[in-house]
Amino acid sequence: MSASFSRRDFFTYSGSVLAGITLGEWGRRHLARADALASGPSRLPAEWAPSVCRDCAAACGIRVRMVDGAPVKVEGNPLCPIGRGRLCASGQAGIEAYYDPDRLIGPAKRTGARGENRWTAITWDEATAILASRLSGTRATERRPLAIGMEERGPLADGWTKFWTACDARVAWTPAQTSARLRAGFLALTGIDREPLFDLEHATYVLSFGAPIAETWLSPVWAQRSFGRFRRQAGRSRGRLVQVDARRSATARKADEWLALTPEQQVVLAYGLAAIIARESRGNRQFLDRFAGNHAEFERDVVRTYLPDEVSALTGIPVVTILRLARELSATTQPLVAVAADASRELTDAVFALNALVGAYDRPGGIYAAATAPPDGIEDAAGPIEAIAAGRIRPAVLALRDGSALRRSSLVERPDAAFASADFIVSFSPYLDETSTLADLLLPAHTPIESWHAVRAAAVPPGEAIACAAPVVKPRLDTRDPAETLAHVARALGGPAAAACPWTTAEDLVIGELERVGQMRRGGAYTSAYETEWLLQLEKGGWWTSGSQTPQAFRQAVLGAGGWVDPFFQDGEIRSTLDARHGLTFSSPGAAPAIAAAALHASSSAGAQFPYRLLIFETSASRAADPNLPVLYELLGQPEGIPWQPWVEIAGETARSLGIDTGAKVKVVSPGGAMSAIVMVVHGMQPDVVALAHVPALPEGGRWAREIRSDSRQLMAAGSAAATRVRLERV
Amino acid sequence: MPRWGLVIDLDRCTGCQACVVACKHENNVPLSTSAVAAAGRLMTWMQLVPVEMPGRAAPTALPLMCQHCDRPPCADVCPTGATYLNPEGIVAQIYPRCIGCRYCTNACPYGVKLFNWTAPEWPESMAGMQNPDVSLRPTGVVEKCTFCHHRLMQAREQVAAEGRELAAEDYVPACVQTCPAEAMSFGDLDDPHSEVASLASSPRAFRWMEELGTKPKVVYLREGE
Amino acid sequence: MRTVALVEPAARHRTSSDTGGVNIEPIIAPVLTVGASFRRWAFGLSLVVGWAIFAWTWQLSHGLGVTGLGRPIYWGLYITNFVFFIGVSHAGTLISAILRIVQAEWRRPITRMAEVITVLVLFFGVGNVLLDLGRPDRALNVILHPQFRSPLLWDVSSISVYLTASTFYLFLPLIPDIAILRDRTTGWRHTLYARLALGWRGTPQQKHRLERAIGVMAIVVIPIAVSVHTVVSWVFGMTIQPMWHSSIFGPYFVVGAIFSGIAAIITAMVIVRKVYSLEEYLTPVHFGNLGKLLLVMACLWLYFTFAEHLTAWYAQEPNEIAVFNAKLFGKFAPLFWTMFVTCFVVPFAILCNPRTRTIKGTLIASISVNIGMWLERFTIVVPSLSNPRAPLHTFLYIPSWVEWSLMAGCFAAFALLYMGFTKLFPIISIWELQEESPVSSFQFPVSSSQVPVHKGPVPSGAYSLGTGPLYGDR
Repeated sequence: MSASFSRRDFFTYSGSVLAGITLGEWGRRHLARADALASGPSRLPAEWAPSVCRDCAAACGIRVRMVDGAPVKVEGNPLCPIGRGRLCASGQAGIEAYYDPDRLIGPAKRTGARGENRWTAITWDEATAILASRLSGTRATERRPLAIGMEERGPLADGWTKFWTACDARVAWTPAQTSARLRAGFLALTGIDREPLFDLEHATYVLSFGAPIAETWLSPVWAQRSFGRFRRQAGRSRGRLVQVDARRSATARKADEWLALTPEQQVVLAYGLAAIIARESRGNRQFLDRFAGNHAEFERDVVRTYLPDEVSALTGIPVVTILRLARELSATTQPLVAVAADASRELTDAVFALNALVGAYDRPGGIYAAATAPPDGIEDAAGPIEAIAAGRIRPAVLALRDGSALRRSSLVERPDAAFASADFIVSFSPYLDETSTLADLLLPAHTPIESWHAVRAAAVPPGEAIACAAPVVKPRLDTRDPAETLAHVARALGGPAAAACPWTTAEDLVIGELERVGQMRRGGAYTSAYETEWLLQLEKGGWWTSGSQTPQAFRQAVLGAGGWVDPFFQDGEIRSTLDARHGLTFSSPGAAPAIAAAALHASSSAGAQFPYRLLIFETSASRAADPNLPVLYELLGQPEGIPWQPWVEIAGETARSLGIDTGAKVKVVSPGGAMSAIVMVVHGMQPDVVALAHVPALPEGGRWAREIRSDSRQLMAAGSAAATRVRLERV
Repeated sequence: MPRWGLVIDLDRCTGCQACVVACKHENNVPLSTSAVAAAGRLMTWMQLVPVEMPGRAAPTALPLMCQHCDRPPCADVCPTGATYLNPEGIVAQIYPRCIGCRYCTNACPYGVKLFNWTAPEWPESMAGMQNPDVSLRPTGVVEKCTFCHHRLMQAREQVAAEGRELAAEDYVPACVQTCPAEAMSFGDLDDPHSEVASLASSPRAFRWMEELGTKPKVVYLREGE
Repeated sequence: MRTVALVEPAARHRTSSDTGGVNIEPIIAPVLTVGASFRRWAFGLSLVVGWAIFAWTWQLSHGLGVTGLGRPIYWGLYITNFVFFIGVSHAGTLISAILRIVQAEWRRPITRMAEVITVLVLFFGVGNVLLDLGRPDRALNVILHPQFRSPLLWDVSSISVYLTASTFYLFLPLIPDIAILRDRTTGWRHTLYARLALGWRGTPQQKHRLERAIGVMAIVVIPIAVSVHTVVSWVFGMTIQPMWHSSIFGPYFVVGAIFSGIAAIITAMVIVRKVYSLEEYLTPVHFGNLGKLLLVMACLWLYFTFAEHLTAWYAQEPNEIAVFNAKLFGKFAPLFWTMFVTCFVVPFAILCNPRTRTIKGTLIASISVNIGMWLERFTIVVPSLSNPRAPLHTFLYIPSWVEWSLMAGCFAAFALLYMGFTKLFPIISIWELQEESPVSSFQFPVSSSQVPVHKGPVPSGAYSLGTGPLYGDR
């Protein structure tokens, strides 16, 4: 901060402090009211209760409109720094989960054969006893229990981990699509073990490698807001977006330029651009010199390995275009290279290297490290699931925290095959779905608006946030928070489990977390943008308001506002996070062209029987826990003019060769299976790629889910989706 | 008298459909099934339609709702005056007067008027999420976007109780409020100081199918430079 | 001034024996007797109507969701039928009025049949609009809260005037015939006819008034009839939808209406002639003349259709051309080309050749035209809606069983009512035939003094009938 402390800043800050001291509470209220015109209320009206959206890892603040004690509508919480009152489609659909007519009404045990879907209702005490007896029996065996959930950071997830660890279980998670996934690449380059934060809002030029920046990137509502501001902001020129994406995603549609490249080709292009920037000495010298590192070596390597002609040949992009892109990227004031959260490590490394060459770190519109170190990494559930499927492990107890944990995993074609080997499956999902149908014991959890929350929001600017809220309504059905269920089981088990689980209810865990946060003496409850700014100015002026409250007042404030935030950076003003002492460590660009060439060759020679490479994608409407959010089904394909339908995108050439056009019905056939879909012709797509929308078909799910008859998982050959090849047949 | 209007910046709009859900829940628009959608009976006051725009390679997903025309073709043809242009520029629909002849749905070039083919249905458990401020439409009548008129009435009551003038942020339709990309603005087009008025005079501003002379009060801002 | 003798009291109550030489028994017999074939048909048609009533109650209780309609195809079979029926209604009144005015004598046996079609079919036209309403219970709102900028309200006004006028126009020439029936019947029929005959005694004064009234109605009804179908076309033409927004629609619809109307008359004539053995009255001459008229209308129809489509095609306006292509080459092409063949190719081929312009020939041509004109209405209503300006998700409209049932019900009910009419009233205007017959046979004992061959001006108060100027007193 001191490095860029101008005289102007001095006046700003001292003025603010003076204002703060002299005007005191009156000034604050007065100014806050003036600000209300711009950024909404600083407190929620009585009719609205704060809660947290749990549809994805973003953990946006929501507010629920209560009419006569019944929830009526979900909107964004205007105090939440992520969305500031804005909320995405699935977030708003969350209320439908509460009212879902096909929810589990209480605990139940299986009576028929596994998967037969016949159940007997039991009491919670019986359920506790069944699980406890199962677990006490497994203590001595070699077959460790396995607990799987969707990634979540916070005391409730910690409670889950503590319990299962005490039961000697392996705890694995399906990783969320957040910047935590990019942590390794960021660490390798900068030596900082933090999550990278992308200041998309202030970038003037974005080159995106598959990053769904106008959709669900890292934290959907944040991404959308930032995209909007990146595009158009008063007093700034329009941000330009170049999207490199295998299919014409919603982001590619919005982009000024779309380059259709497969993930391997994307790596080649990224390094190809780096090579031109290096060759033409267009890198940000000031930045590169500040962080000595091994950039010279990297530049030399990349120039030698990635010759423009070769890059052009591998990607199919003309050399002039590659040159132009490199020059555009290096010539703009605040360029940013974005990358998808689930990109390969090679691509992530290439993108972070490219960002370093153009100096896109520690400046507005660049990349920062998060303020605090994130919690330790998690074990990816993919490994254990694969191991079960392959018969390498056979857990005595398999605990499934969320129904959707496996749905998003492309590893298993159908979970029943994989899970048949588990002796005992316990599901905590509030719904019957493809995994809970296989369970032996159903311990349905509350839906989000009935639950306590304390969850770390996905790391995005403006900083670190923990979304906290009390239940908005009493549970509609006989459901129970997993934390509470596990506490009961722990007590029944006694021993280390009981010792590891001292809490009784989820509330205890949340209150405990709030005490911990309160003691950190930084940040504060969610508040309006204006108030946040005000507090920041006061802090800059040395007037520390954080931690001045009693624990009780703090707890009330945080729960009343819907969360806690430490806004460590604000518009255009960033605390420097990179440390020059570490320098930058560029990974070697390696022999990527050879790899890509091999991949391309492999795909082109894969035989005439299955000529197309299958790419499976999700849209923002088909994401996550849809089956119980019926409104999302309606959104599917609506902007494309094919509502309620899975569709397959094919190139113009492909359509011509098959003699079909948009709206036709085709059968997509893979070695593993077949499904039908509506054709959408996308000009500019690579002719050997077909992209299929993934809409989960859940015959076991709710009434709306049952209407989708087939989905892309049927096509996947055992193993990864990336390797699946298909052919198209006219219907 | 204000003249309410809506500006949608297509350069900011990402086509995320948050507005669609906001509208649906706010206005008690019933849910659908795949069969309902295939039969062309999906109820959406607000939806995204693919529109070819000059200079864009891909069709733009255009957020489409009632354009609240100043010269509404639907109001002209209504035999009973059930749909009409109210003094504040909102094209309103009187459900109890509508005879369901569907002349207005056919006269509207935007296709944004919807007919209740059947009685609106919610699963029993979902009846609780109906907004008490918005009436449920019976079978056989036409319905459409009202610019969340009930919100205006509530805001009027509130400002009257607080003894102040209606400010811009007091009355915001549900779609505008939720738009994550902050692409939508709402306000009084006749107020020269309003955000919508200044945006509507932008060189990027256009009204869809304005060549038909419908004079819509939904203004779009073109994508691109 | 009274040069014409008053009718002798003894002659007031004429019986069939004094009908002026025209053998009216074959005309009257079917009115007063009900055969087995009639009962069978009536029963069969009643079943269809009953089924339609079931379908209708089904629709009333379930809403319009039971149709195949949806967004953006909001109108379908019902509105097609509405336009079609209103078109057919031009059969009677307009044609009979025109023929009356131009004093085409051959018209005499056919005017009644034509006029009945008009009146009955109008009810089905209006009825189809009511079937199409989402809230038929609120139909009166059209009168309680009228909004006169709506072409639909113009329709309401125009059709009600037309219905009233046509009913009068049907009723007036019926009066003398009703009187004949009154004199020949007893019981309820007598009561009914006595009431409807309005005290007709056939006095010259009454005749004079009747002729005068008919004359006025014949003139008045023509602009009304033209206005009705013009206004129907304006329901479409006044919107800005592609291929609807067309200034040619008024005359185009009127021509189509007359076209389908003539075809409907011919069809009805052939059936009535066969069923009631009226070969004596409905001669090949009638069919030949009407066939020629149909031929002219077919050519006119082709001209209008060509002009309409050429304009759309030549301009290549994207929204119009989308509808145009859907009609001519797209999913509506089978319907469109069937329409073209049935509306033009078939009638033209048959009717332009005198050798094929027989009763059978004209019947085939007429049925073909009726099918074709129905298809024309369908291909006007549905393709435009299926290709809206806004890129909405559309679907293929397939009418549901309810719609087909109601359509079948409408046709069945029409046939039933028509049959019913023939059992109550003579389907051929007896007195008009009689008026014509003096030319050849001069057997009009009662009124023989009424200058049947008088060519000169008639003194006021007197009246000339027969071949003389019908309205010579003006």
